[in-house]
Amino acid sequence: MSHTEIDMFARRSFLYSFDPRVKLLCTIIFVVIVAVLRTLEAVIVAGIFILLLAAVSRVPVKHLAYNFALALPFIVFAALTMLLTKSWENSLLIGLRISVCVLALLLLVTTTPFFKTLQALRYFRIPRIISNLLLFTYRFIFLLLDEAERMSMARKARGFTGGRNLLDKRAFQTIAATIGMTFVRSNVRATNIYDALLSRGYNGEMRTLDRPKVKARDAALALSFTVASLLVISSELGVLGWTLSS
Amino acid sequence: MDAFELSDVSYHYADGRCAIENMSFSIQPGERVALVGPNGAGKSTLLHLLAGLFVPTKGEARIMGVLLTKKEAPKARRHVGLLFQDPDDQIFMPTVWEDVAFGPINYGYSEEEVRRRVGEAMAMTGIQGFEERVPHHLSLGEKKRVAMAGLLAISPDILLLDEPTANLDPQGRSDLVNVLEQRKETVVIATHDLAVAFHLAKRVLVLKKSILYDGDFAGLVEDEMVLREARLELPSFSRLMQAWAKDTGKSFSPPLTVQEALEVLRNNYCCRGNPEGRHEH
Repeated sequence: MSHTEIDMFARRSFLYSFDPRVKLLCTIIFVVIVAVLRTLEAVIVAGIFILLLAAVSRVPVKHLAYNFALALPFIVFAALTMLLTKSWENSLLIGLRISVCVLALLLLVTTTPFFKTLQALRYFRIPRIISNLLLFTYRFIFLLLDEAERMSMARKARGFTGGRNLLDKRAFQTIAATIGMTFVRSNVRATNIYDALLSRGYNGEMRTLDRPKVKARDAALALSFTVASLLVISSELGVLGWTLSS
Repeated sequence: MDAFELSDVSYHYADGRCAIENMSFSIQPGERVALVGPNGAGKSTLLHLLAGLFVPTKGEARIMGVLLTKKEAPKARRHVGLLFQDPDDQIFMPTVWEDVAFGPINYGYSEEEVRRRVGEAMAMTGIQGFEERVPHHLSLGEKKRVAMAGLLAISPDILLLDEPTANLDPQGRSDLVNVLEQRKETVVIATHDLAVAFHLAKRVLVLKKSILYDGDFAGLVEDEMVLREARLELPSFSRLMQAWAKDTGKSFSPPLTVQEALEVLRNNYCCRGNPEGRHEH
């Protein structure tokens, strides 16, 4: 089917070989710092760092843009709310702040195979139920899309062309039936997948042969995040502007 | 100890639908058994039960001596490998190597042992060189071989195969049959493909919620009532030979393989005085 998996470029990314635990920890700390920023300058500094990181990651811009676009409606909604209730500066600040956070997290998940991201989460003692939920949600999203795509093709093959207008009752009935059937079929498929996992010894714990070890390059990545975070904080406190002007 | 021992087993789904009813049979270690029957006869349900994924709602089932209960099911599952009809249900990991290694890693084997098992399983199923391939991009035949390698890598005592040759092209079907032919484990195959069943199994269980027939194929092909009840169709060469027997008034058991059909023809028609089996013009 035509949908793209979020980690499809992970293996060819420059950031792939870094320890996923270091990437996860650095990203989360960076996101927390960005989330509490109050000045536009600091958010811009954080944004520049993330864009630089995206540039060296070798993840295609189109892939990042596509995944970013999925989060865009939520960002626009938050920015619009601020625009209507506060000022355009606040709206711009919140919009940029969320965008930088989303981009940072996107970089993490596009440059790390999903399974390894989950392993890193487990390393930091995220409960097994949460990591399993994430694993199955991620896998089942594609199943749902596959089923929906197959049914859409089947509809088209039997002459369904979509509604002519928004009040086309028959089109709505067809689409509603398709959505219902998609869930039913996906449920059957999901049960089969879970059974298949059980029959190969799965007991809820994710195991791989990788024994990740923090290396010098991971320390370098952590250092670059630390420097970027310090620059962002300096900018937030006005120290950066003061230093540059004096 | 039997590989499977079922005594008066029934299974009802949560909606109350009865899938199998009062089933009793046992399968010896190393035996090869085919499960045949019409759609909805309970073949897949029985396979799930034999794989330790379902627990009987009535009766007792033992897998390699382990009584199948909710608590003991994981222990019972350790003995069994189930090949699903649709390989997309089974292949889960992002690369072929990781998927084949999924079972051995879960069972806690050392890294060296996992690598050895994965290498051997991939060689047996002819998928060397596929290690880094993304499973979703493989053909159906290749996916089936990856799924099969995933099972062989855990070296189960018993292989359960749900329609292993369904939707495969003739080459893919023959490749899979070749892999299965070499196996020494207990094998249970649920299939509509009687030619494959004849080839791989000696014993056949005909299902239609309960067991209609339990015995060898020679007995089955002569039991027209069971064949009709279970909506089974003999392979085309068997039917051809049956029609020929009717036409010519000759009497012989319907052949189960092409080789047997050839033997019947040699004995009854073309080879009289012609050991090469050629027509003389």
